[in-house]
Amino acid sequence: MSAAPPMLAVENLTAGHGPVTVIDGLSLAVGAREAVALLGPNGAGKSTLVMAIAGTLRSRTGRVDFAGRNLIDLPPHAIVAMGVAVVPEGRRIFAPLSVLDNLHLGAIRLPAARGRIGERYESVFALFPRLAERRQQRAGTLSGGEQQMLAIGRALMSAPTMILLDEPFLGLAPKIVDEILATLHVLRRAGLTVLLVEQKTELALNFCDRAYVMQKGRIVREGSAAALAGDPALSADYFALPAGGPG
Amino acid sequence: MTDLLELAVSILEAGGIYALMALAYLVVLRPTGIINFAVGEWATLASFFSVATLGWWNLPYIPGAVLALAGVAAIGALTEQATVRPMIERGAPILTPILILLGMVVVYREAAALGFGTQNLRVPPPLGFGRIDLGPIAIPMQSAVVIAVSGIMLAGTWAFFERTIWGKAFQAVAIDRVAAGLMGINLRLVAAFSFAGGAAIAGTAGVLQAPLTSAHYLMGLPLAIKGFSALVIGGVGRVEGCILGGLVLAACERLVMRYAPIPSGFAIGVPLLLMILFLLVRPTGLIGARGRT
Repeated sequence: MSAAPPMLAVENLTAGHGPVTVIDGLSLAVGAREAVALLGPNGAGKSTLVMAIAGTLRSRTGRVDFAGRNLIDLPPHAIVAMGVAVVPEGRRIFAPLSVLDNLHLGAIRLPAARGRIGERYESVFALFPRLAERRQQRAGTLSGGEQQMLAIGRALMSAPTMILLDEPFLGLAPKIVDEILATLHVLRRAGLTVLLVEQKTELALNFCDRAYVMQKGRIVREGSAAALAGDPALSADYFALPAGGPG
Repeated sequence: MTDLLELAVSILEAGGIYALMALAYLVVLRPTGIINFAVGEWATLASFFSVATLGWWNLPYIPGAVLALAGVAAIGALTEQATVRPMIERGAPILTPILILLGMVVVYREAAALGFGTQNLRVPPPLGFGRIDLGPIAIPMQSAVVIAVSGIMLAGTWAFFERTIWGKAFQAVAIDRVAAGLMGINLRLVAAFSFAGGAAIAGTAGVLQAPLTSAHYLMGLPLAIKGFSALVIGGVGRVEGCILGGLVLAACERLVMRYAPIPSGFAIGVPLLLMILFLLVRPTGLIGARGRT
């Protein structure tokens, strides 16, 4: 970690659904313009962590500092306004609404200082030309890959400085995965800070600078992407299915 | 001919009020998923408030009516904040706020009876009791007011839902609450606004109705039933459904009253009969639901 304070610093975060604690005293940090992967098996609490950072989970304690401000007591809409955008697990696009309406809703908190809505449309359509072609179409009629592009484009409409991507490649054809990865590389070069939640270890380590491995609500390993990628024990240790098959 | 035209006017008038009541349900239901049976009592409260602002304080009609509606809108927003929000934020099932609001019906009604008594209170109509001559028929002034105001209100709400980004935001909250929050939509504001809006719309129906039948603490229930019937008949989900449902309901009711050989007391049962018929045969209403996947 460099001497500059990280863009996102999660410290001793505990969060869960109602009385059930899913994340227990977790800490991690993401530097400005860095891409960090969050790896871990199903049920490790990765999505819960994303929701806790985004503020949609109300029962949470600890600190979540973003750009020097603690987000822990802020509602989701205030967190979006600060520049954190989320592409949630399962895309969660507004299927009955048009592509354009979905994108427009993504910009509902666009601060005037971060650009005008017209410019946002242009930049999203430049990244995903297919969305421009289908702008009047109902979002639910798009293909899976296009829906994922819409979910990412929608998040980008708020002109975020950091984006949290929760398993964006789930169920997509390899060709689409490559296409979306290429777009994410463009975004990184433009200076976007990325936290990528993934189960596909190899793909995530290829894309990111560093990675955390999460298991049962805690960080069990961290390191540079290169170091983790070179560790043959990684997948065997942390991704083996629990005895008794998938649960 | 004259007879039919007069009948048409009375259908438009009653249909306008029923459509407004259906709309009051819809405005709360669409973003929150809550069927709020307190809309009838909101109409009652607004018509009593108009007794105060117009009858007692002698304010000019428009400021008086607006003040009455602002009062009931504030009550709507406060009710959401005090009774609904704490439940939703603790993760209660949607039935909990529905039952709480059903309880609030009694609270509102008894509060209205305590504050304004149980007798009928006259409310002055905005343009008097005159008639407008329109070709072969003369339309009662208050009918014209009801038709015009409910038309403007319905058109305005339609434009809000279909043409503004905040209207789309209401729909987004209905489709996926969590995703809507992630977009930056302020969920608390949407809920408070939907209750305030629903109360103001139901209140408009009450204020329009009051000069015709006078304000009474039990006037809410029939309005709530007719609004709900109109909502079911038209189809839950869209403003067009409220309008269509309100008009169909009013047409059936008025035609039965005029032509069917049954005592007029039985005509009250027509909306219920029609609603049951729709629930059995076409539960999605005349206009199918939209906005849910």
